[in-house]
This record gives sequence, structure tokens and C-alpha cells, in this order.
Amino acid sequence: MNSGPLLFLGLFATMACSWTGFVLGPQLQLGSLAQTNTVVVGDALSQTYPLAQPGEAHAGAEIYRANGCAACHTEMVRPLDLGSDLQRNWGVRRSLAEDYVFAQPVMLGSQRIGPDLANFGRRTDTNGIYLRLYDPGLITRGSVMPPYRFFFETRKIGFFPSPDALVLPDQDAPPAGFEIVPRPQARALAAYLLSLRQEGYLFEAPPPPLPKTNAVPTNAVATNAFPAAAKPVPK
Amino acid sequence: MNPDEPTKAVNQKEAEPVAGRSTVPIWLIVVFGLLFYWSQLFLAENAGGFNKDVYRPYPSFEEVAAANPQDPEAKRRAEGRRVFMTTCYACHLETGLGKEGTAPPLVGSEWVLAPGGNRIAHIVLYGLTGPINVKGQDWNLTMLAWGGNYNDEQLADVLTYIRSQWGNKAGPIDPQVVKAARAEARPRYETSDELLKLPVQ
Repeated sequence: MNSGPLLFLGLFATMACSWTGFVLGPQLQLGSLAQTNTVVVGDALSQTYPLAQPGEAHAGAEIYRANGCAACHTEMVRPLDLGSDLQRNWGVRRSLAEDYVFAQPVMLGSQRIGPDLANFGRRTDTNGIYLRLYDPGLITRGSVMPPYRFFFETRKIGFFPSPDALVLPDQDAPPAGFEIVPRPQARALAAYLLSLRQEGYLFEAPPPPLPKTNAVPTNAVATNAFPAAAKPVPK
Repeated sequence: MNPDEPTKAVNQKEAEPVAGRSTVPIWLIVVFGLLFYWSQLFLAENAGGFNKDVYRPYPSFEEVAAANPQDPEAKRRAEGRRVFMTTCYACHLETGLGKEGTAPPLVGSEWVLAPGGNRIAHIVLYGLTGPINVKGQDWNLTMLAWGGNYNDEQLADVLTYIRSQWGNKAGPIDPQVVKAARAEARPRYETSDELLKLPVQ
């Protein structure tokens, strides 16, 4: 019995179904996604969102990609009912498809060995990124992140010391007369990480209703990083 | 068993396996039917109508829209802007700043921002002529009467618009205010002195 044509049709139907579901459907749904305006909260003005990345951040995205940062870091804040991301202050709202309009490719990541970086630009600065890259344990004690020292150059201090030389504690300090400065890759990566800001409420994720009382909301305390290594419980 | 004797399997030539025909058991069809039914119910309840604006935790577009900050005046301001950009902007300009020798400013004007809209409603209904003091500056110009061109709703909308634009933050004007002012049927252009005799509310 010649089942070839039947087999072909069955395989074709299977492929067509998955293509429709995974390619055509999302394209029809989100293919026209573009910049929008944020929802007005109180007296604030509506803003265009998202904004395209500056050039250096765009280069930094390639550094982020090349060094496999997405293997341990995600860039996606989960909604309130699917995780504790919002309670951890990793974002003010869940992530939406809108947030990745300018990301090419979208580096969502799948494992959270390190913290989520969807809003890293909101809670750090350039120097903090340099220190974390040079010696991750400096800021987050017990961090399992590998140091990326090849992003930095140890060089002799010239006529003037470099303004962006790292200020390091004694155990990491360079020998006398030398300084540690970030290479262009580190600058680009820092620019990219600082551009990670999922700001503003959008129609799809409106601001939470204002509390009826003047009580302090439970998530009002900002935590900028993971807590330092757990202290041993006194017995 | 004699080890020299070849096994049966080697001796006998096995037949090629052939795909035969057999009926699908009815219970399998029923199970798949039930699964399909359940999946459609699940999609109907959780897919948000496949709308791209619906994300967890909102089940439908209506609930997303309801969760957004409501602005009941937005439609009136939009209509007011349409009227403004048809008529008023020619003298008061799109910025509401007015122009020396043409029209006094609306931005921060005490006439515009007065708590009630009575006097400003009279101005747009019946026009204004003669000297008037706006933000500490004297003006002596004439504004035409627009009561014949626009109805109460439209005038209330444009007043609502100018009271909420350019940093102005005064409440909306109800069409009833314009209606009451129109009912007075005043015979000529308003003047500053006559306006000041009117109640603010």
C-alpha cells in the first residue's frame, strides 16, 4: 500500500498548524507593534514609549549577546500572579510585548541564576556595573557570577590618572602606579544595561489603583540589589 | 535443545509488516471530543479574545479598559480642541498665549480660570469689547460673539478645553452654565464693567 501522499499530507498539515500557531498568529497579533504613549498618571505628561536604544547601547547588546549573559539573566518581569518579581522591585509593572519593539534579537533568557535585568538601568549606575563586571562579589556577596576582567585594562597611570578608573577595595586594587580602566566593550555593555528600563504604565498594564487610605503601600521600600549574604541565625 | 539445530526464526522467512485497516475505537473519539471541547472552553475563558492588548491578569479587553485611569472629560476636551482650532486659535493662537494687539492670553488668565464659568461663558456667547484687564495688563480690543455659531455643548466643550490646556487647571464647564447665560439674551457685546457685575458662578 502506497501511503506516501497520505504521509506527506499529514506531515504538511502538522507543520502548517504549528506555523500558523507560532509564526502567522503572533505576526497577525503583534506584527504591527510600534511606539505608543504611556498612560497618564496624575499630573505627569504622557510619554513616547519605548525609545530606541542609543548607538553605544546597541553595540552593548551585541556584547551582552556574545558573552552569553542571557544564559543566567532574564529580561522579563512576570505578572503579579505568576511570581514575586514585582515584590522584589524588579519592575513597576509586568513586561509586555511592547517593551521589546527595538530589541533585536529579544534576549528574554530562560534561567534566573542571576537577577532579572529587565529594569537594571533603573537600579544601578555605570560604576556599579563596572564593579559587578570586575568582581561580582564586591556588591553582591557570594555571587556566583564569573568576573569579566578581560573587559578591563590594567595600565600605568599616565600624566593624569584616568577619570573613569575603577575605585576598588584593597583586595582588588591594582599595584601602585597602575590603574584599572574599562575597555570599550565594558562601556558599551554598561550603556546597554543602563538602557534597560521598562518604564511607564501602558494601556495593557495600567497603574494599580491608588490606595483608598494614606497607608504606605507594601512594596514602597526600594531594594536595589539582592540582600547581602544571609547572616547566621544566632542560636 | 541441540545447539547445532538452527532456530526457527532464521529458517522461516518473516512476512513484511503490512499496515492494515482497523476501526478507531469509539472511546478514543469520545475522549478527543471531550478534550477539544474542554480546550475551547479554556480558550474562551483565558485567551482574552486573542486581543493583543489583553495580558494577564486581565481576562478580557473590557476589564483592561476598566482598569485604566478613567478620564470622562477627554472626549469633551477633544471636541473643544476641534472648536478651538476652527475658530479661537486664529487670535488666541494654538499656544493660548494671545498676541499683542490681537487677543489677550488665555494661559493663566483670571477670566478663564474663575471658579465658575459664568463670565467666560458670557464672553464667548456675546463677544467682548472695550478695555479689560487680563493678568495685570490692559487690553482694548473687540472679540466677536460666537453664540450664533456654536451650541451650548460646543461652547462648554471649548471652555473646558481652554481651562485644562497649557498648564491651566480649572474644572470643566457644564453646558447648563452656557445655557443659563444664553437664556439671558443680552443685546450687545459685553464690556469689562458689565461682566464684573455678573456673579462669578
